[in-house]
Amino acid sequence: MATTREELALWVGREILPHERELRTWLRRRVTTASDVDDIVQECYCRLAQLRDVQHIENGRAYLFAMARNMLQQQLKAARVVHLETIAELDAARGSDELSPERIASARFELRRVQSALETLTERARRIFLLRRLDGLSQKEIAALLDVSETVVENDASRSLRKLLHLLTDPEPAAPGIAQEGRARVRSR
Amino acid sequence: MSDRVEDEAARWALRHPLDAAGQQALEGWLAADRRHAGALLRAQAALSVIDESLAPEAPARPMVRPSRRWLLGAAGGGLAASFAAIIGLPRLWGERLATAKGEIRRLPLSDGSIAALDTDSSVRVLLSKDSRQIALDRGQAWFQVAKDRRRPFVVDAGIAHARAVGTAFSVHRTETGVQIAVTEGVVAVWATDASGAMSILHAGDYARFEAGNPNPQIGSAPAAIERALAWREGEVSLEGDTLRSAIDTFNRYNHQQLVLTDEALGREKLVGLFKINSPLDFAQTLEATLDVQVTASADEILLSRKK
Repeated sequence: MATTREELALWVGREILPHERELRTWLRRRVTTASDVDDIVQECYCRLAQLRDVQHIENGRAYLFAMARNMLQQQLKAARVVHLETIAELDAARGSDELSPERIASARFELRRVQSALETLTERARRIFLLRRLDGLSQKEIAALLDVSETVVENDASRSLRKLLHLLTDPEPAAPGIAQEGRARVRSR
Repeated sequence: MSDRVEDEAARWALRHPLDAAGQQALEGWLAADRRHAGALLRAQAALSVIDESLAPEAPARPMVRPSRRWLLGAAGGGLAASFAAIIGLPRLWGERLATAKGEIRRLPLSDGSIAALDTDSSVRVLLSKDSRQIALDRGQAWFQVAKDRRRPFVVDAGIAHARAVGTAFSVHRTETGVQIAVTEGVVAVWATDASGAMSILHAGDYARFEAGNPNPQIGSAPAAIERALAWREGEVSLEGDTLRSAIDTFNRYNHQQLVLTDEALGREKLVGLFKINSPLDFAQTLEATLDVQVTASADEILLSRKK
């Protein structure tokens, strides 16, 4: 059975998005710039958007990491100068760290985490999301109810949505030299 | 992800429903850059995470997992507060409707909703342009709410509130607490002084609030809820209830009180459907089936063990 767009968004929200932060941290240890990380993450979502069906994907996290790993490998192979150990390490990483039971158990965002992110929103933004969700109101109807223009509602909601996305998916701020440390840790295993 | 693409994606994820022109514009945007589809999916996924945490979909029945249905923490409190702010709380109250003991009334409201008022109950109704507010001051009422999503239907039962769009639910206010039970649709409930929580109830769910505790007890009991609402038909439905609780129910509806002289009898379990306004018929049925002797006067019906 094909997956509808809404179902796909719901599935990505449950199975993929909760792991984006970790994927970014993982990628950051392996590529040089933040924009490279962005490019790979973006490409992952492009490929997910092309899926007609997600029912065959048992583990969203493993699927996401496998996609990212393959892209990274191709990038590295295409590059002129490659650290051999980086490729060897990617091969070694295959199927190792992403399948442990506790990882699978935490497949979704913790409710608390989403809620503390929601707490950072303005009162009006929260109302907008609530009216959307509980009453199924359109932006126009919400604007009328809150007595503001539709643009205000859209600006408020989209700004809040992006803020939440960043709160939920930005990697931990990298300390200088963390890439080296990360590598050393992986190698020592 | 470039800021511009991320911003546009967030806007598209939020626009709904799209009219034909909007749909066309979206398709144009998606076709302009293959990365757009990915960015849109990511934004939609984030929106679904927000939606789910605001009001989780009901888990597969009959499993009830209160923790998933809850909006815990300060976010929930903010939401409850925001309802109050949207609705406003005008102090100009409209019509007062009440029932005497033994009286059950069915009241059509001007918005097309129906309120069934149980024995010895009192409500105040205020229907305005942008809200529908009911204050349940005493007793129990069941509401069949006419769908009107521009005017939320909110019941204030003192320590707890319930809010519906188009749905049917009952609110029972007693001295010890408030019970809200949903027979159709979805209802949001919260403790009035909640700094904590709001819960979403689906058909067949109930929430029981006690004074001083912002966290209601929540469960699912569709059959019991229907049964407990038999009063709307002027009936009492017993299904393994004790004689003691049956007597308490009859006594809420009638001046002629049933009195047990032997409390041990009160533990007998009963099954049956009875007219709520006829405790004597009920007593005579007991006489025929249990070892009970019935002595009736104008004010009382004494139930004692047969000698």
